[in-house]
Formats: sequence, C-alpha cells, structure tokens
Amino acid sequence: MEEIIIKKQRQMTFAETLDFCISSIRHRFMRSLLTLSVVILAVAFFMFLQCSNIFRNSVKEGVEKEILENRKAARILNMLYASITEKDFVSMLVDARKSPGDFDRLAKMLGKDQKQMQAFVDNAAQEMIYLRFFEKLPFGKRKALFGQNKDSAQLEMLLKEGAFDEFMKKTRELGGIRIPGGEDQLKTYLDAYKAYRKELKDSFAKLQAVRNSKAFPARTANGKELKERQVLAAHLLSLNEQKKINPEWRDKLAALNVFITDDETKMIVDYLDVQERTNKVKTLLSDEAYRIRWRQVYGKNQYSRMDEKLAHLDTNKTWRVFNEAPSQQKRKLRELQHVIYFGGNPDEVQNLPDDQLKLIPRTDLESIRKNDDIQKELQKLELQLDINTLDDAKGFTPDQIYLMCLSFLVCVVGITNAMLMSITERFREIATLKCLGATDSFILIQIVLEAMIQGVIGGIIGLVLGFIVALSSSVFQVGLRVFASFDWSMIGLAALFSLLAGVLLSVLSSLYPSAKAARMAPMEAMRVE
Amino acid sequence: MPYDPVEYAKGKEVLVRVHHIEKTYHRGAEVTHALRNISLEIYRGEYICIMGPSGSGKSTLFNMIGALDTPTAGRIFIDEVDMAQLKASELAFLRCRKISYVFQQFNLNQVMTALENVTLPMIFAGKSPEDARKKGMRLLERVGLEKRWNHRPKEMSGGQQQRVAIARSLANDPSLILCDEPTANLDFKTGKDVHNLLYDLNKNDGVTVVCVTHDHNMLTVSDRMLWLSDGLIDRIELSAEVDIRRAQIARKDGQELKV
Ligand SMILES: Nc1ncnc2c1ncn2[C@@H]1O[C@H](COP(=O)(O)OP(=O)(O)OP(=O)(O)O)[C@@H](O)[C@H]1O
Ligand SMILES: [Mg+2]
Repeated sequence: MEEIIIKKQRQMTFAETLDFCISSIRHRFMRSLLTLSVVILAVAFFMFLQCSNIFRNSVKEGVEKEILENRKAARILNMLYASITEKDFVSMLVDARKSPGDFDRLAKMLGKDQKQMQAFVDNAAQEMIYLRFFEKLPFGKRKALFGQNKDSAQLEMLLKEGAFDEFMKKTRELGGIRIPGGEDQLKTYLDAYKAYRKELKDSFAKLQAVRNSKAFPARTANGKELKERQVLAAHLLSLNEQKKINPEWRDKLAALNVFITDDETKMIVDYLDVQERTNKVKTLLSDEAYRIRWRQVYGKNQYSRMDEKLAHLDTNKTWRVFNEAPSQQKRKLRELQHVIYFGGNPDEVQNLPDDQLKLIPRTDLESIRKNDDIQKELQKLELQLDINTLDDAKGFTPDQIYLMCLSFLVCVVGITNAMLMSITERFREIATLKCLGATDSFILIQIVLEAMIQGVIGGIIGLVLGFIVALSSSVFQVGLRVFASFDWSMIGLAALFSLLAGVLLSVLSSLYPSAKAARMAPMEAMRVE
Repeated sequence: MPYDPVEYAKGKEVLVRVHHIEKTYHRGAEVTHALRNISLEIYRGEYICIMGPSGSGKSTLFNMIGALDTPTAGRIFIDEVDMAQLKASELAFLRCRKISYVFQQFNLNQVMTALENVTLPMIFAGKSPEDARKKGMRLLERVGLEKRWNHRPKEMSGGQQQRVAIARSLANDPSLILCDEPTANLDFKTGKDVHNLLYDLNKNDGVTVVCVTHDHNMLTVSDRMLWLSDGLIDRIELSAEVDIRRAQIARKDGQELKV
C-alpha cells in the first residue's frame, strides 16, 4: 500500500493562471458583462469629462490665436490706409512696444534705428501717461489748471515761460493731485517735449505719406475704393496660395519703407476676407429693402417689433449660432429666427445655399466688435456680441469638479458593489476549486487577474466611448473647429488617467472579497449564499 | 458473527484516525453540538458507510475527515499526520492528490465541460494538458460518459453529473474518496450505478471509501456501517451481518429482496 507523503502544493504558473482566467471570463461572458458595463460607464464618464474640457480649451486657444492674428492684421492695415489722428498714432506707437514686429516695421518706416525708436516710443508712452492722468482729473480741477486746452495742448501750455511754476502752484493750492512720477520727472520730460512733438509731427507726416500713396486703397464713403480694396484682397488671396506676397505690391510698399512678411500677408488676407463679410452684414443691417421685406414677412404690425426681435437674440444665443457646425447653423438660425443675417425669412433660410450660411465665422464676432459702424448699429439694437463668453471654459469649473467627484464616488460604489456581488456568488465555485487542490494564492491571483482584465477591457471600451461622446458633443457645440486644434498628448494623458482609474478601482475592490474567499475553509465558503 | 473491533482491526492499517473530536456551532445564544466526542479508525482499503437520521452530524463528520472544516476540539490524523499541523498549501496538496470528494450537489464547475471538470485537479497537480486530457478521457470512459466529454453540467442528467464528479474524484489516483450522500439526488437505478462504481473502485483499485448515506441499498457494497445519532456513535456493524438480518426480515414478510 502506498504511503501518504504530504508536500507543499505546487503553485500554478502565471501562464496557467492567465489561461484559466481568460477561459473563465469567456465562459461566463454574460455574467461578466454586468461588471464590465459598470467599468465601461465609469471610465467613459471620466474620459468624457476630461476630453470635453480639453477640446474646449484647445478650441479657445485656437480662437484666441485667430483673434490675435486679426488684430495684428488690423494694426498693419491701420498703418497703411486708415485715416487716423495724431492721438491714434501715439497709441499705435505705445502698442508697438509690446509687439516686436510692429516695432521694427515702424522703425524702418520712420527711418530710425532701434535706440532712437525706443526713446521715441518711450516718450510717446510717457506722454500718454500724463494725458490720461489729466483726463481723469475732476472737471473743476482740470478747468482751473488748463482752461480750454485739451490733449497735447495741455502739455504744450506748460512749456511757456513761467507756466510750469504757475501750474505747480495751482496744483498745490487745489490739493489732492499727485502727478505720476513726481514734479521733477514732469519737469525733465517737458525739457525734451518740444523736440518730441516735432519728431512726432514728422513721423505722422511720414505715415500719412504712406496712406496718401494709396499703396492700399483707403476707405471712402462712396464705396468705389472699397471695391478696389476687395479686388486687391482677391489678388492677394490668389497669390497667397503659393504663400508669396504680391511682388508688385511689395515693391510699392518697400519704396515707402514698409516691409510685410508672407505670414503677415496671409493674416491680412484672412482679415480682409472677414471684413468683407462683415461689411455685408453691415449693409444688410442698414438696408431699407430688407426692412420692407421684413414687413412683408411678418406683417405691418410686426414691423416696429423688429428691433425687439433682434434684441431677443442675446449674447449666448448668438454666440451659440456661430459655434455651430455649418450644417447646424442653418437649423439653429431657423430656430432663433436669426434671419437678419441673410435678408430672408425663415422659410427662405431653408433653401439658402450653404456658402451663404457660412456668412459669419466665429472670429467675425471680434471684427464686428471692433467695427465701430456695426457696433453702433448693434448697440442701437441693444444687441451685444461678446467673445468673452468663452472665458468660462478655462480649466474645470466648480460645477464640473463637483460632477467629477460625484461621479467618482458613484464609480467607486458601483464597481465595488459589482465586484463584491460577482465574487460572492462564486463562493461555492471557489470552495469547490479548493476541494480540488487550488491553493489560496491561486484563488486570489486568479480573481484579481480577472478583475484586472475586466478593468482593462472595460476601460478601453469606456475610453473610446467617452472620447467619441465628448468629441461629438464638442462638435455639436463649437463646430468642426475641434479638429483643427487636437491636443493628442493631453488626450493621451486623460486616457491614461481614466484607464488607470478603471483598472485600479476594479483591482482594489476585488482584493477584499477574493482574499476573504481564498482564506476560508472550503465548507464555510460553501455555506455562504 | 457480531462486530468485534479488536478482531476487525487485525492485519489492517489505520488510514484515518479520528481522535475525540467535537464540533459545536454557536448561533447567538443557541449552541448546537453537532459532534460529541467521536473517536474512530478507518482502515486502508475498506469501505465504510456513515448512517444516521437527519441532523445527526454525518456531514459534519464528513467535513472533519476530509479536512474541509476544523473541529472545535480533538484531532484528526491521516496516515498519522495531524491535520491541524498542516499549512494551507499542504492541505491543498492533500485535497489535490490524496483525498477526493463527491458531493450530493455534484459541485461541478458549471461553465466547464465534463472533460475540463475532470482534468482540473490534474492541472492543479501539474500534469501536462495532453496527459490530463488522455487520462480524463479514460476516466470518462470508465464511468461510461466518453461520448459526453464535451457537454456542460447543465446539459446532463443528475446521474451523469454525479458520474462526472466521480471521474473527477479519481483524477489524481487518491487514497481516500469521501462521499456525502452521492445518491440522494438520484433515482434508484442511477443510484445503483454509482454504488457499483464505488464498489468497483474499492475492490479493484484498493481505494478507501467513506460514504455518508441514507440509502440502505448501499449497505451491501460496504464493509462496515457506522450509525450516528445526535452527534454520538450509536453503533458500528458489519454489513454482512446486517445483510443476513435483512434477508431474514425479508423472508419473514414473504417478500423478495432486491439487491
Ligand atoms: N453552519 C452551521 N451552523 C449551525 N449549525 C449547524 C451548521 N451546520 C450544521 N449544523 C447543525 O449541526 C447538526 C448536524 O448537521 P449535519 O449537517 O452534520 O447533519 P446530517 O447528519 O448531515 O443531516 P442530513 O442527513 O440532513 O444531511 C444539525 O443539527 C445542524 O443543524
Ligand atoms: Mg448531510
């Protein structure tokens, strides 16, 4: 008869354990589906929250970049054709301090080297500080100090013989006036002021020479040259496809010491494109024919209420329309009766070709805001277009954080509960395995591994799901722009985080019940129901 | 010839020694003495039946002998090794190769096929999958289910399931097979098949069989019978003796004895 020799039970190899797990999951696929779907939902939710935030931020960055480019183009064009006052010119100089490109261009145009230009610009900035300060003084005090003089005339007044001492005396008498930088600094500044004013006048004349040369057609009332401008824009646009500036135009500008790069040309072309469409809006807004049509569509009584209707389109709604994908704009506009931008009634909108629907891209909001005429027009209608609505999008809002914490809690409870249930209902099976010679560690490893596999599979499905939902909801909200500025590294990070959360939660919540099951005597485990 | 323990033990080797074990269950204030001071020796190669009314502690004793549960007091020795001294992995080893179990509810793995169920203990023991398959098929053949190797428990009758469970219990050539009411869920005919199988194992393979049962038909295949009542050993009898007695009763009643 064979003697019983008791040894340690061999440990299953990892490959064997994995094999066992996979076949176990495969066999009880429907059962695993419950746990799996909880994991999927949890991970998808995380992914969704993170991704939609990433999308919104990157869209916002993209929009901001476009706005900055538009502003830059506007600055260049202002230099080329806008009829600006001397005061505007000072602002332009002061602004140039912050933009190296503008600074260099202005320096070249005015024939100054870096150092001279810097001194010139600093003087301009200083002047602006003083003038702003004077402007902000209470009316009575300002009158007592400067009489009828305004703007730079105030500073020039102080240059007269004895005027400065008189001014300081009055200042002290009036009290409560603290000159920026102090008395001495103002005195020093005034010593050089005359020379600066002369320099400024000369420079301004140079700028006007550029404008007068009509290197770029100026804006006039009759609209004839406006047409020319559009032609030039079209010309630039066609050349720009090769990313080259029109040489004729470049030479013309170079003769005036104005240098514009290819990139800047592109910005200008984009800007003009936007402007052109903005002008269309403007024309529409003031078009009597349109008003007549409105009356036809909405009836006589409704005519006077047109303004109200427009005012009804509050900031958010308007913004939302511009954020729609082109195909959605149509629907949304119809919904909002946003017909004014088309000059048609809602039914007509339905039949409009798509390119007309794209009348106003998002960034136009900025140009509309900057365009005084339209702004006035819109103000009359109490309709404000504000790009700042996007500012809320940065980072997680408290609402989102709250939602995230709540969802995390729900996930923890959900996954833990699902795991606990699925393991508890397998106690009998586990006990049987132990009767057949499974070691405690095998049971533990097998169940945790199974949870991990479920976590990974559920996590990956959840990732994809969350990503798709976030993407489609973002496309619905802000349009196809989402695809323009994809931040893959951020999305990858979000994916990693969501996946880790899913796997970790599954593993952690399976650890306790499986350890409990593994350590129990088989009969005890079998009794648990 | 009445049962004489000393006479019976002659020339026999002790496989399981149950030494004054007790098992009490506490459920709140209520205390159940499932087993009270039981001592018993099971010999190598014998076939012993444990009988008694419901609640007398048969299953509890079964669990103690099979090292599936721990006694409140007393010790169990298998081949003179104290079960209480064994580590978890040594217990797993014992359950894997030396002792095997057949339960009333079959306890097959529901998601595995018959063959996978039978090969499972061999995989735990470290046998290569091909060898395990070959031996598994041989065992299924032995219980007459080779055609059903690819069926899952749900697709088989109770008797077939129990036969798979018996095939599984033979996977690692155990020295001791423990059965807890293996035929309780089966009809007379299939129950008899199971008994014949166990009898065959005991007589031809020399496996020690301990069988908890209510089934009087089983008595004929066993060597000894242990009667439990209220957690105590009521009596031990030799089957041959009981057989004679039963035959006498049957003849008195003028009935034919079905065995
Ligand atoms: N886990 C438990 N908790 C409390 N009491 C228990 C437990 N298990 C068994 N008992 C009690 O122990 C006693 C013996 O139970 P056991 O299961 O051994 O009886 P049995 O002889 O197998 O009965 P049956 O023939 O009905 O299977 C019974 O009174 C039962 O109520
Ligand atoms: Mg029982």
